[in-house]
Order: sequence, then structure tokens, then C-alpha cells
Amino acid sequence: MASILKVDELRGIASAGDITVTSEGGAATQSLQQGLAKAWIFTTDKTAYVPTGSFNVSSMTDNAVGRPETNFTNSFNDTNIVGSFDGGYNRLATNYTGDGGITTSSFAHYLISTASSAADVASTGVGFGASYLGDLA
Amino acid sequence: MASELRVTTIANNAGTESVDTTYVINGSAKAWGHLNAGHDAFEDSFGFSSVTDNGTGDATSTFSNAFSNDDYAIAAGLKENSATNRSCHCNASSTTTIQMVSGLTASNSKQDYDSSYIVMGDLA
Repeated sequence: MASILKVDELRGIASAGDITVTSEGGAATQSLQQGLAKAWIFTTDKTAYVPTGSFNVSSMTDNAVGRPETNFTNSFNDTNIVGSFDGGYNRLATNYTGDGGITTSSFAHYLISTASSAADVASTGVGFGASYLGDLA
Repeated sequence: MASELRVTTIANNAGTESVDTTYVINGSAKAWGHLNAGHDAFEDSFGFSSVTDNGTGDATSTFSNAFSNDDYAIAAGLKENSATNRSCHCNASSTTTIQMVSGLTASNSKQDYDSSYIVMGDLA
């Protein structure tokens, strides 16, 4: 029988920030909070990087060609933020930069072309997308 | 006291937003880690129990909980302040319990890099 739980906030009992879920195969249990993406961003604006879809992102900053920076609404607990990105065809790496690097409230990307130079996403029909995992403050 | 709640759907109190719990469980990352510049220890991680340094640009990270198969998906990214093409990868020799990772230069030589990994899939 299907059931629906209606709540606005979930909290652990022993620890407010720790709720456990059972694995798909049932052999293990794991933290729910730790596995959730804490922020994500997608934009088709490949030059100014104005977000077209996002979660926990307040804005993006265009620091320079190939150097978009994501600004978080709720800050992370530390700078050990794990980020992944996709910039479409011809982009192989995302790095932090001297233009802010990684802070608890922002993550600066460095989009690099196969010719080893900073470059904005140039391909038609693709955008810039990224997700961020780690511990929120 | 531990307690367990079994539901099919979680919704906000107003009922305007909801998600099937299968998306919560299947859509959560089962492991993530920020590997240090030496490529031999995690600065921070979840779902990994250890890292073994196999040499320059070559490491084995062990999952805390085994996956049900080796078809998990990995997103990897470098944290290097350089415009030079570099990359990091999960190797085909990864199993349900370990993830083999390599850092590669533009000429495909192994190199230690500050890097991040996100692993999605089904746990055993």
C-alpha cells in the first residue's frame, strides 16, 4: 500500500543532522544527508553564466573567459567541497582559480579547452552544469 | 532509541512538492571524496574507508559499503590552478568494493592531482 509522509523538515533523533537510509540491496545503512547534493546549477548562458536552473545557488559570477564562479545560498562547513561539472564538447577539466578559488560560500571553475587555454563553453545546444557535495555549515 | 519510518512518498506539509522515496535513495550519492594533492589521502569523504597510494597518479580507494555491481557512475574533477589540459579517471579495473583512480597529464602520463570523485549507484 502506498503511503505519503507530509513534513516540512526531517531531523534525526539522536543527532538532528543524521538520518539513516537502508541501501538498495538491504545489506547496509548509510547517512541520508551526506549523500545528498547540496547545490546544483545549470545555465545555457555560456558567457555571462546567469543560472537558468539551480538549487542552493544565489548567483554566478563571470570572473573572466572560462572562469564562472558559483555562489551558494547556504554556506558549506569547510572548503572540502566536491564538485563535478559538464561544459559540453571540448572541455576536459574544471579547476579552482586564483579568482576566488573554493571558499565555504563559492566555487570558482576553470574551464579549459583541449588547446590548454581558458575558454567559455562554445558548442551549440549545450550549457554549463555542475553539482556540489560536502557538508553544509 | 532508533526508529524506522517506511513510506513511499515524502511531501512537504502543504502537499505542493513531493518525491518518491526511491528517488531519495537511488538519487543520493553513495560515496564522494576530495583526494589531496599527493593523491594518497582524502581531505574529506563519505562512503570511503581508506585510500592506498599505488604510485604516482595511481590510487585505490575502498568503499565503506560494497556496491551491488560495478556499473556505478562516477563524476570526477580536478582542482588545479592551471589552463593546461589534465584529467582524472576511474579505471576499468574497479570492482564493487574498490575504485581505481588515476590522474593524467595532457600526454597521458600518470600524475598526482588534487581531485574530487562522486559515485552514484546501487549498494549491496
